Amino acid sequence: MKTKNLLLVTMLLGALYVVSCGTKHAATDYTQKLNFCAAGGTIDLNERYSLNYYLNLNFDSHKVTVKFKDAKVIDRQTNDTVNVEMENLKCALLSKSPIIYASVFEVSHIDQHYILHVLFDDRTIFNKKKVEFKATEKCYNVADLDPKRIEQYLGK
Amino acid sequence: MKTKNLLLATMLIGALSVVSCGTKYVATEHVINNIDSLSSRYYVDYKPNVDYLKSHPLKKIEKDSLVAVILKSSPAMQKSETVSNQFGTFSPRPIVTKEDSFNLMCLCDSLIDYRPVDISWYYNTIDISDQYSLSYNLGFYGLKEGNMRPILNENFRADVINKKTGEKTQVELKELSYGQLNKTPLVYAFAFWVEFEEHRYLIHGMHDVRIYHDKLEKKKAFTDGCYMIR
Repeated sequence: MKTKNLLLVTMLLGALYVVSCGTKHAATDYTQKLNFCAAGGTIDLNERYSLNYYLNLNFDSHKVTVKFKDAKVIDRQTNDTVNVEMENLKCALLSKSPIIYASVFEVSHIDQHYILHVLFDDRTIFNKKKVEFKATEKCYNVADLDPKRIEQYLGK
Repeated sequence: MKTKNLLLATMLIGALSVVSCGTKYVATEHVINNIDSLSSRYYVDYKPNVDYLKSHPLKKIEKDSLVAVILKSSPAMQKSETVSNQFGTFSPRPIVTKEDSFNLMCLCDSLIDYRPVDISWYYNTIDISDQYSLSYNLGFYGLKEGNMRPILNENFRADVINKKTGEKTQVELKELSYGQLNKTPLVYAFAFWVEFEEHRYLIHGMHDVRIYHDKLEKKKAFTDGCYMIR
C-alpha cells in the first residue's frame, strides 16, 4: 500500500513537472488526472517558418490516445499563421513514472514536407547546464532533394 | 518522361551518396530494414557500390516484371534467398542501374507493407561534456509484432570516450525506457541514463528510418539529446 502511495505521489510529481513545463513547452492544461498530459512547443522548420504544435494525450492503460492535436506554421517575418494538419501522428509511452513519451508526425507547408520528432521526458527539468524544460525535438525536411545537392554529390 | 527518369535516377544516386557518406550508422540488419521502409518520397538506404552504379550499362526492366533489386555490396541481402512483393517471390538480383532506380523505388514501395522489420540496431555518439562523448549501441527485436524488446548481448553497451586521448570507459545503461511508435516505416524512441565521474547524463534518442534523407543535413541525422541531470 505504501509503495502504491509512493508511486502515486511520484506519478503526480511527474505529471506536475510535465504540466509546469517552463517557457518553450508551455502546457496549458492541467487536470487532477494522472494519465493526462497536455503539452506543446515551437520548432523551427527553417529560417523563416516555425511550427507551433499542441498535443493533448491520454495515457490510460499504457496506450496513448490523442485527445486533441493542433499545429500551425508561423511566419516569423510577418507573424502570419497557417493551420496545418499533423499527418500520421504516432505516439508511444515509454514510461509512466517518470513520464516519458515520444511523438512523430508530418507536416506539409509550401511544397516542403517535414517529419517532426518529439521526445518528452519530465526528468529533463533537472538539467544542470540549462535551466529550461525542453523536449528532445527535431525537424527533418524530407521533401525531394535539392538539385544543387544532387550535383554536389555527383561531383559536378 | 526521359527527363523525369533521369531526374529520379539522379535523385537516387544523390541519395545513395548521401547515405554512403554517413559513417555513424553501420549495421547489417539495417540494410533490410530500410528496403522495407522506403516509400516513394524516400530513398533506399544501404551501402551502395557507387563505382558499379557509374560503370554498369543501363538495363531496362519492365515495370510488370518487377524483381528484387539488390546490391552485391550488401551482405545482409545476399543472405536472404528470396524477396517477395505483391507480384510474387523473386531471387535477389545484384543489379542497380540508373534506369532500375525507378523500379527499385516501386519495389520498395510494394515491400513496405509486406516485410516489417524485426531487429534494429541503433548506434550513435553524443557529446556529454567538453571533454567526453558517449558512444552507445542499442539493439531491439520484436519490432515486427510491435512488441519491442532490447537485445541484451555484449553489443548492447555504452562507452564514455575521452575526446582528447580516445580512452574508452564502459558505463552501465540505467533505467532504459523504450517505445515503438510505428512498425513501417519503423519509428521508435528510447531514454536511459549513465553515470560518469559523479555526474548523471540522461540520453534520449529516436530512430526513424525516413530521416536519413533530410536535405538540410549534410550527414546522417539523429534525434538525440543529452541532459546532465546530476
